[in-house]
Order: sequence, then C-alpha cells, then structure tokens
Amino acid sequence: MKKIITLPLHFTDSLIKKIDGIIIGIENLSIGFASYETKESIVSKIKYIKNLKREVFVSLNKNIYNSDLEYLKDIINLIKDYDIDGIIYYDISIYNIVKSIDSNIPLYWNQEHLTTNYMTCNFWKNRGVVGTFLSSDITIDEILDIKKNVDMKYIVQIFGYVRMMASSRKLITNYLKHIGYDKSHKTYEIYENLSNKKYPIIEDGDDTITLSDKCINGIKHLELLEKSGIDYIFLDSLNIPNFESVIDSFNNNDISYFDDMEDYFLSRKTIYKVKR
Amino acid sequence: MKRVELLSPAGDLEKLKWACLYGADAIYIGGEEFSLRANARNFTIDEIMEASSYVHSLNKKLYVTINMIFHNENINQLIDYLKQLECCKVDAIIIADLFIIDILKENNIKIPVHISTQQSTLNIEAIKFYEKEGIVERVVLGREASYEDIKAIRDNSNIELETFIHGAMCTSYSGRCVMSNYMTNRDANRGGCSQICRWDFDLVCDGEILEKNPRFTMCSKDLSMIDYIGELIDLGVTSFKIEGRMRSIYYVSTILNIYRKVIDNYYNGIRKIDERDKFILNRCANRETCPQFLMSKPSEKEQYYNGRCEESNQDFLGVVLDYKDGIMTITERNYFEVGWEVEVFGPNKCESFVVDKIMDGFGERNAARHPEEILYIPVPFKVEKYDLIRRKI
Repeated sequence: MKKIITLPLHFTDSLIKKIDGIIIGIENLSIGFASYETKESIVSKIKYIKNLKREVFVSLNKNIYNSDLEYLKDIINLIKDYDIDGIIYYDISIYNIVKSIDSNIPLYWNQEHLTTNYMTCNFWKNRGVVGTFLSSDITIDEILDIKKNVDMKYIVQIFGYVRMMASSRKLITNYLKHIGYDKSHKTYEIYENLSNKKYPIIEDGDDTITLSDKCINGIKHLELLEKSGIDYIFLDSLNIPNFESVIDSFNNNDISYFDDMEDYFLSRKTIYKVKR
Repeated sequence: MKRVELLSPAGDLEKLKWACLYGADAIYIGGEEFSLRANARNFTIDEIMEASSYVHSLNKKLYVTINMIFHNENINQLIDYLKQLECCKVDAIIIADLFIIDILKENNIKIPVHISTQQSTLNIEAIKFYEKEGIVERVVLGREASYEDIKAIRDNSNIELETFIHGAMCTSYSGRCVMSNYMTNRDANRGGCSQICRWDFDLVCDGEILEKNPRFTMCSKDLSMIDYIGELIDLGVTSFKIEGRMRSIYYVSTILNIYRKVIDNYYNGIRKIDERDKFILNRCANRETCPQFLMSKPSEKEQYYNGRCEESNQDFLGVVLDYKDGIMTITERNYFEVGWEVEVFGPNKCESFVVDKIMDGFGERNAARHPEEILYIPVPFKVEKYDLIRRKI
C-alpha cells in the first residue's frame, strides 16, 4: 500500500523520498491545494518528481466551466507525454477530453463526496477508468466492501483536513465587504458556538472551501486497508504545520504522535432518515 | 416551435393536483426511497402509479427523482423499484448517481434519464459524455451556469436542457457539500441535509473572533429568473424548474401561477413583467430573490446576512371549496376580518374585493380566527373550487 501526499508549501527532496507519490494541483483547474503549478511550471515539476522515482498524479478537481475548456485541453495535451501515473478528475469533462485524445494517461475518478459505492466505481471501470479516490464519508466496512466487489485501484484519505464544501462564491470577501472590513488576515475560520468548534474556511481563487474542524486520522485502520488490497492511502498537507513529522509517524506506524484527531466516518455511519 | 416546459415540484398527491391546476406542464416527485428529500412524506409506488395516470390524463408529464448518492447498503432494492417505475409509465427519472444508467441498460428497463443538478454540469464536454450514453434525454444544469454557459452548451448540443428558475439555492456546488455530515452526522447526499449553510457563525480572523453584527453566514438569497424568462426561452432551454418538493400548496400555486403568466405572455408577444407579480413572488417565501449566477458572479448583494429583511407574513387566507349564489365556501388558513381587501386568484385570474361579511355555521362574525375552519363569505364575482385567497398586498 503506497502513501501519496499533496506537497506542503515548503518541502525538500528528503520529504518526497519518504513517500511513494505526489498529487499536484494546477492553477485554475484544481482547488484546495497549498500551492499550484502553472502551465509554465507543470512539466518541470512532473520531471522533478519523476527524477526522484516517485509517482506523480495531477488532480483536476475543480468544477469546470465552458470558459475553462481551452485551458484544460492545453494542460492535458501538455502533460500527456510525461508518463504521469494518473489524472484524478472531478468534472466529467476531463474524462471526456482525455478519452478523446491519443493518450494512455490513467484516470482516477474523484468526485469527492459522490464516490460512495461499488456500483458507480464499476460504472467508471467499465468506461476505462483505472481507479477511484473514495469519499471521506464512508466507513471502513464500506471501503472494504467496495474493494471486494469491484477490482480497481483505490485511494483512501487517511490523514488531513477534509474538504467539506466547495462553493463558487467568495464567501469571506462578500461578508467582509458587507460589514465594511478589509480582507487582510492570513487565516480564517468559522466558529459555531453551540458545539464550540472552529472550521477553517479558505478562499481559493473565485471559490471558497471549508475544512473539517479536526484532521481525519485513520492510522489505526492501516493494517485492515493493507490486507484488503487498497492501493493508495492519501495524506493531505493542506493546513498542516510540520507535515514531515506526520509522514514520519505514518512510516513508523507511531500512533502516539497524534492527539485531538478523529477517524470520523471511517468508523461511524451517517444517518439520513431522521426519526421523528 | 416547441414551448418551454414549466416543471413543478410536488411533495404529495394533493400538491401534485394543485400544481397541475395552476399551470405546470410537468411535475417531479420523490419516492419513499432514493430521493434527496429523505424526511419528506414522498410517494408510495401506488401513489406514483396514481400520479402518473393523473398527469397523463391531462397530457402532462411525471418525473421521479432518484437523486441520492448511493452507499453500498442502498443498492439492493433499486432494480425492483426501477421496474415498478417503468410499469407506472413515468416519463423520466432524475438521477445523480451514474451507475443507474448501467442498471437500466443491463436490465432493459426503458425509462428516459435526466441527469440531476447534483452533478453540477456546467460545460459542453460533460454534456457530450452524457450524449454518448444514449439514454440520457436531458441534463439539469448546475445552478452556477451563466447565460454564456447555457448558450455555449445549447449551441453545441441537442440534448434537452433544464434550468432552475425559482427557489432556494445551495451555497456550494450541489453534491459537493458534506458540512451536514461533519457537523450533524446527517448525510447531505442521501437526503438528510441539515442546511448548515443557513446557520450563523462567527468569523475568526487569525485566531480572533470578529465580533460583528451581523454574524457570518454562507446563506444565499433565493433564485428568481423572472426577469430573464424571455432570454432563457430564446436560448432554447427545454424546461424551467421550480425548486421545492417540501413547499406548501400556496407557495407552489402562487409561483406557478406567476411564471405560467409570464411564459404565456412571452409567447404572445407581451414582454413586460408586472412589478406586482415580482413583489408577490418574493413575499410568497418571505425571502429576497435574485438571478444568482445567470448574468454575473454573485457578490455580497446576493448573500443573506442576519440583518436581512425577512418578515413572516400571513398573506395566505384560505382555499375556496365551493361557490354558489354569490357566496364562497372556504377553509381558512390565516386570520382576516371584515373590512380587509382580499384577492381571489386561480389559474389565469386574480380579482379583489373588500370583505363585508364573514359567516360560520352559526351566524355572522367580524373575523376569521381559526385555521381550517369552514366559513361562508359573500363575493362580488364568480369564483371556483381550488381558487386561493390572499390578503391584498
């Protein structure tokens, strides 16, 4: 079972050598990354990671508008000859474009919170998709059941904040404008006073995302995931100080490093029919 | 030229009949399983059968939402349900989870597919994907689609396009929000959404709570395309959807009545929209409206902060049950009294009068005080069963 990560803002070769692969984001086509590659920098970043003998995935996880399509096609055409290990896609346009060009880029379906059952994994497998990045709101049992029913590659987020929501609105800017404040702070959170919880909120380009209040941490499920044949575990660096220590802890299976984290839905089911 | 379809929600059979009466060309409903209104009453399979017969007898259409995102545990009963819907002769199912396409094909179940707005379709390449699937008849576009997005898609595809024209908005991209899951354990994508984007929060800046009034919220104003109906018809949109399977009869009837009028007027060459109709639209849900993403990206003006002008009103006064010899029999909904000016409206009509007498089974009284009470009121014009009464505003 391989460990893949998103890169923190500052990193070294030694950090990359501690893991198996990197997911990189592209400016204006990805969301929720600490940093983004541009049309000019993407190829050199892929080569750099490949030179370190690590896998490289490109995440195109933004909702795509018509006006993005030309740029999206440019990027796909630019990266298709560099032996990347996969494009991880949210918007279905990306699937359609990759399939319409002469390319062997492996595709990973990643519609964030829509990747929740084996039948839809199978739907995409039947259409040539090699893997699925599973939703963070399903249980370990559901993950194992998916793997058992449909044999494709799976990525499971096992560490990091969960992107709970993505909006096409500038929610912080709008609010601050409404109350006559400048947007000059470095970090923002929303505080819910009944539960006494704070949730990071980030404006990313024209969009806004909110993150879970705590980091998801599924270190205790690693053995089970490995046994079941899950291919990749994902550790997200967004908003995590000292991320290299996290990687070290996972590499050493050192559960004592972590406190005040949750495994959320890995061991708890959601409800949807509320008893009255 | 094929006319645009006016598509109404209905939470139960009674509401469905009202929607048909007040101008809907098609109705969408949810069954007891698999829809995103998990806690609404919803339709049993027998009721779906009855609904289908009823709407088809009026030459209208019925669509059934299967728009939850499935977990493994939800999959088992789906095939039987789809076969039952086929027997009910529903005109389409609205799906969010794409595996249902394969289920239909593999089991030779012949029901056209509409792709739900939960897929946030906003570009022509995604549309091309659905076209290739063969059984996708229509795509409900993401609410973030702009005029230019719709145009670019319409110009490059023949697939049917549906857009929302009125109702509540998700703050996030539809389907891309699990705040409800993380904050309340209720699964948004399986119909349990606890509407976190309507909650008030404090904004914390660099660790310090910004103590400001109004407090932070993500809540957006409701959508209304009332000023752009002509543009959307000219673009070639197939269907105009009204949000709200859990809304009241008064809400749905009022919204339908106004949009029916605006659409019909447009086809008859009347482009002017009555400002009073717009006023009534907004009062009907007690919420301000705007066209959201259609012409530009929403700013702070399209958001609701808790200083909002939202006042509860009791405009809806009653439902006409009968009319005979100048007296209407009504069932009351909200307080009114002798001397009030009221409007009676129904499909394609609206007239007002001043109430000068209210009677119950025992005699005359000066006010209607008890919701659901049966009352008798002289009215100076002919009214019909299922007309609605509201305060003149």
